[in-house]
Parts: sequence; C-alpha cells; structure tokens
Amino acid sequence: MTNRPPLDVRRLRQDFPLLAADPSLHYLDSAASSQTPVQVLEAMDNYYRHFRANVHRGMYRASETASVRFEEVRRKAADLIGAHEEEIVFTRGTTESLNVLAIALTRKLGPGDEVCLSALEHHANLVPWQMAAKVRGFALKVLPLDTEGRLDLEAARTLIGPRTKVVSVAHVSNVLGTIVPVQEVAALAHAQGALCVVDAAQSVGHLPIDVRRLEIDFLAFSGHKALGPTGTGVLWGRKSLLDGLEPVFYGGDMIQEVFWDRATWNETPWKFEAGTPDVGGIIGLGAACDYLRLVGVEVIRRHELELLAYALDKLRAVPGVKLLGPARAEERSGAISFSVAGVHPHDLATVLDTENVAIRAGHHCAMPLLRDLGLIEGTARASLHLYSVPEDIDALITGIAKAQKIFRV
Amino acid sequence: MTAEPIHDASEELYREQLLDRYREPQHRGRPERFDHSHRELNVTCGDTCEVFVRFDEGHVGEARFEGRGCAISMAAADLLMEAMVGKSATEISALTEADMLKILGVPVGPARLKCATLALKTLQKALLEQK
Repeated sequence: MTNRPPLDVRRLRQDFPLLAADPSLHYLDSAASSQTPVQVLEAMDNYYRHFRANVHRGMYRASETASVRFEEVRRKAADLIGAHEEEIVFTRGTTESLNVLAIALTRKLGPGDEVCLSALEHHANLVPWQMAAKVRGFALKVLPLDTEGRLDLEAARTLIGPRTKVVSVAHVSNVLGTIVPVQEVAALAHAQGALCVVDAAQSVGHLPIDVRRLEIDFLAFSGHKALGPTGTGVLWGRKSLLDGLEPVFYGGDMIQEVFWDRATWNETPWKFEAGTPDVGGIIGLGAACDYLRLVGVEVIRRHELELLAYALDKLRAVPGVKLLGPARAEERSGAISFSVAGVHPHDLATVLDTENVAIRAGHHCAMPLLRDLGLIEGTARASLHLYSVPEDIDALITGIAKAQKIFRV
Repeated sequence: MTAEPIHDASEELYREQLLDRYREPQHRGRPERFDHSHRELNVTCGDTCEVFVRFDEGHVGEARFEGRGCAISMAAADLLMEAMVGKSATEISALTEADMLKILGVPVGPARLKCATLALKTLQKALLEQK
C-alpha cells in the first residue's frame, strides 16, 4: 500500500468536469465542497435512467436493483473507514449526523453531566450540543488549544472527568487544518466511561481512517466533501451502541410494526433512516467511496502533504501574510487559513476570483474559534484535494500580490 | 494562468474613489446627538455596521456610521450616509438595493451584494428604532 506510486494528478483531473472544462480554474475550496468525478455522475445517471424506483419495498426488478445498489453502498462506505456495513447510517451530511447524535446521545443526560467539545468545532458540532444542553440541563465544556492551534491534550486530560458523558471533536479543523489526535481523545473519554464522537467532515478522503484502530465510538462525514454528491452523508457508530439508541426521525422505512397508539423500530441501521432516502445520491456516494479507495487515501495524503508544505512555504514568503494553525505540514490536513494585512478576506477573495482562483473567505462556520483568535472579521482559506496542483498555489500567490497592489499595502 | 488583459473586474470594482472612501471615510464615527440608531451583523462574514441618524425638521441632518468590514461594505456605508442628508424617513424607507448600487457606483456581483447593502439594511432598521 505504502509503495504505491504518486498520483498522476494531470490525468486524474480529467475525471473532474469543472477542472477538465476550464484548465485555468484554480479551485482551492475543497474544504467547503470537493469536485465530483464523472464516475460519480455516471453512477447517479445510471440509477435515474435504468432502475429509477424506490428502495426496500417494490416487488419488481427496478426496485430490486435500486435496493441492491443502494444497500451495497454501506459496504463501500464501511470499507473506506474500517467499519462494518451494518453500522453505516445514511444521512444528508455531517450536520445531520451530528444533530442525530446530539439528540440521541443526550436523552438520558441531565444536570451534573458534561459534554466536552474542542475549541476548533464547526457550528455543526457545537450548536446541536448547545441546544441539547438547554433542554437536558447538562453542561458543555470546551477543550482548549495551544498557541499553534493544536488541541491541548494536557488540558483535555483534566477537563474530561467523571462527569463527562460524551466527547465530540473534529478530526481535522476546517479553519486551521489542525489534525486532532482523536485516538488519544477517545482514550481519555473511555477512561472516564464517556463516548467519543468524531466529526470527520474534513478528514474522510484526505487521511486514512480506521475507526477500529482509532477506537472511537461514532463518526460523521459528508459525501460532498469526499468527491460525492451534495445532500449525502454517513453516520457511523459501533453496532452495539447504535442498537441501544432510540431513533430521532420517525416515518416510513424506519419502523417494524405500527399500531394506532405505538410503534416498534426496524433494525440498525434502518431505524435511523426515516422516509425515502436520496437513493441516487447515495449510489453516487458509493461511487465516490470506490474512487477514493481505488486512488488510495494514503496516496492522496502523501500528495496533499507535499502540496501543503509547498503552499505553507510560498505563503510564508509573502510579506503581510499571516498563517494560522500548526507550523508543521505533518500536523495539518487540507485547509490553510491566512490573513493579508490591509486586505479584508472578502476583498481578497473577490480579487482572487478575477484571477480564476476560488477560495473561501469568512468565519467558516466557526465563529467562536475566530473570536478566540481575535479574527472575527474572518480569514481567507485555501484548501486542497487530490486534484490540486502547485500551479493552484502559484496562482494564489500571484492573486495575493495583485490584491496588495490594488489596496496599496 | 489566464492571460487576461490588465483591465478586469476587480479594477472596476475597486475603483480609486471607492478605495479612498474605505481608507478615509468621511462619515464615520459615533456622533454626540442622534435620534435613531441600529447595529446590524452580516451573518455570512461577521462584518458589522452601526448607523446613527439625526433628523432636523423631518429631514436627515446628519447620518454617520461605525463598523468593521470589507472595502465594499465600508465604502457603501460612507457613501450612503452622505447621500442621506436632506432625505425624509419615507424616502429612506423606499430605497431599494438597486438605489444602493447606484450610490455605490461600481458593479457588484451576487457574492458581494450583502456587503454592498449592509449599510442600507442597517439604516432602514434604524428608522424603526428610537435612540
């Protein structure tokens, strides 16, 4: 596996319609949403053209084919993260997965209990817990960062205590790019009898993930950040834990038997999937998982790491640019946040757009983190994926110089 | 790399007049006297704008703003405050996004529309609130 050759990025870029159609486009916003390869589009198209039917209920061939293709995505997604297929719950994305967990895991919590989050969290791994805390009366604790934006494990050791029932952390920060040592966090949680939830929106497809090796309990990710279609996602949980949780959404497909005054639930994972799922989207997600596995996530990581080091070096050399997050590329993944003195991030993004460089500017749905960093006006963020090339970084550098010229800084 | 000519959209958007307003606003700062004020947040980026309006006999005598944001939102606020002097509350309430873009005088794409109209939104809400 580790001896696999480096990526043939030039060839692989031809799989991505937007990049193939416009070779001058420098797409540096994969942390917001990745591009989608034709293999994914074809898988979805195939469903809509050849076996477009609902799943799990039709007694005819199209529905049977749809059900088989839909169900086999559980194995594809499971293989990508080292899980078992019956542990894969399909959702609309990381946000929905985390909302489900924040409700389902806190039903029995109350005053005196605590849930710990890291200071890196995206709003999607903060607000659902805040709301649950309001309803149930438990307390939220925030695990702090060190000066480089890394999780302070020593502080975490003291904050995660006997009152802690759940520790929910991002695997990779969507703002700072920091890789959080989730295995250590999970060990701290388990030592106190707490569960460990991982928001893997920024890591699936970028870092090799094996949920058994990480010894975590739940994991959430989105299809659209991992080469799949928008509106698809996964909630993974250990089978025994999912079995013990009550569903959050109710309706068709998730039930076993219904009476006028009560109902019983379907088995895991279906009891968490109320209503007709995004069949075409999930089939597309399966193709995305295949694509990532075929290319090899370790190979992708090696490519991104090389490019990340190149980008950090280049950006560091630009006067007025301040980089956020860990200094060492090895401690980071995909996202590179920075500020340019005298140029507001939005203005920078607009100028870069005229150079056909697509970046993200703003608070990246992590307002508390940016407030902590004293950067409430936001940051500029460039982010990578397997199709990113050094020319994208060069164009970014050129665009920054242009913005500095316009703003005379 | 694209081989675009020097003349491009960013040069049109960031005209000198607009950048001057951003660097050296003429109507910035909280005044001592005002009748209406309101503070608004641009949720997409965290930019803030606060406006203060004083009426003299039914017409704006002075309008000023405070805030933090990008060149577009801050220049728009400064130009809007200037354009409001002499206007009635009814006239201000009737202003549209198109009017705001006319005052700003540069082409603004959909991605920056919220920046360009933050001050107008703030001003119109201010009129609904007493000091």
